[in-house]
Amino acid sequence: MSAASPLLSIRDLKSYLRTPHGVVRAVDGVSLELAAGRTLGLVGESGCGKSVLARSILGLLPESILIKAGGEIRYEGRDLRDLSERELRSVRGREIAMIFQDPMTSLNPVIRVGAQIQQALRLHLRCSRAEARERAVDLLDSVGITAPARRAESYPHELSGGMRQRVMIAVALACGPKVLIADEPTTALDVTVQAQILDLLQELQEKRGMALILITHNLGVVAGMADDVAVMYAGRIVEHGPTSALLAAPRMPYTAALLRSVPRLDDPVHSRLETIGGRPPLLIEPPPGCRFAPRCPRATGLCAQDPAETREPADDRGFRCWHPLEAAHG
Amino acid sequence: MADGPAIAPGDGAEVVLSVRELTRTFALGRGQHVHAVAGVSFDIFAGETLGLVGESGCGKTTVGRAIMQLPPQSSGEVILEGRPLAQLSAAELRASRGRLQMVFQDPISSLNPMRTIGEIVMTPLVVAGQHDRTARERLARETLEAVGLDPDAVWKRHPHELSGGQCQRVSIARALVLRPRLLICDEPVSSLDVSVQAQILNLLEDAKARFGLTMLFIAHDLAVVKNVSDRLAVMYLGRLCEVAPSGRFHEHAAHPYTATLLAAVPEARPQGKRQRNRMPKGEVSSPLNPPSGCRFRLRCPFTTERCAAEEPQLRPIAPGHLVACHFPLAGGSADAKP
Repeated sequence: MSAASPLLSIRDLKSYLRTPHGVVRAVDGVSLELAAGRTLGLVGESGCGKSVLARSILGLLPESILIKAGGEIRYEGRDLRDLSERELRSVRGREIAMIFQDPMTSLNPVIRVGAQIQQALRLHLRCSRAEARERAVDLLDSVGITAPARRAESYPHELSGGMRQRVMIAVALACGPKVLIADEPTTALDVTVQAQILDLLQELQEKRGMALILITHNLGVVAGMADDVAVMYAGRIVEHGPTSALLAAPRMPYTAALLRSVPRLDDPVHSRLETIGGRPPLLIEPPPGCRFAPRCPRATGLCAQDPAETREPADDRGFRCWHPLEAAHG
Repeated sequence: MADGPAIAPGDGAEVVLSVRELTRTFALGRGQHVHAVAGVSFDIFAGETLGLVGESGCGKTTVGRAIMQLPPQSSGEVILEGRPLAQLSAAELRASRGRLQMVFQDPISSLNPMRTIGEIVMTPLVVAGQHDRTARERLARETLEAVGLDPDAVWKRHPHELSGGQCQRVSIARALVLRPRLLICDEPVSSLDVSVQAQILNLLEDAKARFGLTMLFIAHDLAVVKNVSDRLAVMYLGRLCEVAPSGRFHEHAAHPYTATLLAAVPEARPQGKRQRNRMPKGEVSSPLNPPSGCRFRLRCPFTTERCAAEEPQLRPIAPGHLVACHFPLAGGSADAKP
């Protein structure tokens, strides 16, 4: 997706999940690349597989559920899928870190927040208790927490949602990772707090030259944050490209419909929103052709039989569609 | 004197619901109280949708519930079609439910999991004393059809067998089956995916036209609320800070908090990287201990001594446009200076 050689490169990844109802093909042939310092927005609706994809990268899915059905995840020359649990532990947090949607359930409720950051530090870096304590306070300060020394002594429940997300970010950044995966980091927050957290992520990324994978259902968040966007539907990436070009002229009908279903502030009052009929397919037995075909107004017999491979005509754009929308005119 | 009625231009339209000086206090134990709603007044006119928007903890849900008398307000009045609800007997209040219904945020937990969809939609009719079973069933089926569900397909199903969007349709059918005058929607789409959200918003607009509803639409998403509402009321820490026709907000927002909210909404358009640091620092103050004077002043970029000394009251600055600010923004856009 970008000219620079990728830091993280995922090829034809397949992560299937065992469930009581059958095997769910949650991630079914996903390829993407992330270059150092870039932000990739991964967009999709509930159940499209975006969180399973993120957890696959860090090996966070239990072996009892996950079926590694193929593909590779290359990070700095190594395939993360081949690593042992022990080797993976040295990658997690130190090389690639992750933050989650709900900071209340991801922080340990019975440990003071300062101590949680110190744990992360002492797990990966050789440093003394005193050093760790000092660095934890510095980290809290760098994520914009006022009176960091005092706040380090707080328990998570004593903090507001926005502050907890700041603490999560501090924990994730403790060991200076090169890649941060943020899974719906602002979904649980109010808009003004969301804006503050996005400010913080942008600022930290610039300072540290970190690459960011921002997973969200909110196209607005992606529009302002990401260099590149990948749109996910039913376990596959159906369109990717540079953010502005993709938002200005989506080629895949699903992306276009998704964009038009969101109300905008400058729309006239009572304007009718576009809807997408039907529901996403069940990924236990997905349709053989394009997975969006049953809901797509442009679908033909071909779409029902043959899943279009990703086409990359030009400009770093790519899409999986037999009947794409017009490219931008002029 | 607290703020005067927040009414639209006097064009003689019938007032369906009138809320006057509504307050709602919750006891926290140890003699502490939180004023979740601290004096809110507005009117809703026949056939309009009033949007009530604000962030978590601002009291918007409490306002909706107080109107439903679930629980009733601590002080002030809720007047539905000329009748103050607090003065009604339990039986009269139950009868008023036919005129006033509510749709809740979580479509799945607000439906009884043990009941079939048919039973759920017929329940309000039973409570309202409709004893003719065939009539009940006919009305319930008609209403399910009106919300875009196939009555035969869902009648014997249970809520867990339906998707979130379908459950929200059932909730709307349950609210509409009594053919209410006023429908209160509390965050009806915030737990839904955007494509489903669009379906439900369109459905609410259709239902409003078909059944001649008047609506109070409560939500945190400004773009969503603006899309369905004729007028918008913005709430912050238990008080209204601005009320205006929805069309005026984008260009003429006058309260600094409204401007902040507008600037915070991430918009899905090709725009390049977002500008940083457009948000005031700090978080919403606690309703336990609100600041003196204007409740927004600790986060407001334009605050003065007067804002600490004197609480601004809602006052008109243009026809139908009221703002509670000593120094309303002139140009009104998100980046404007006063």
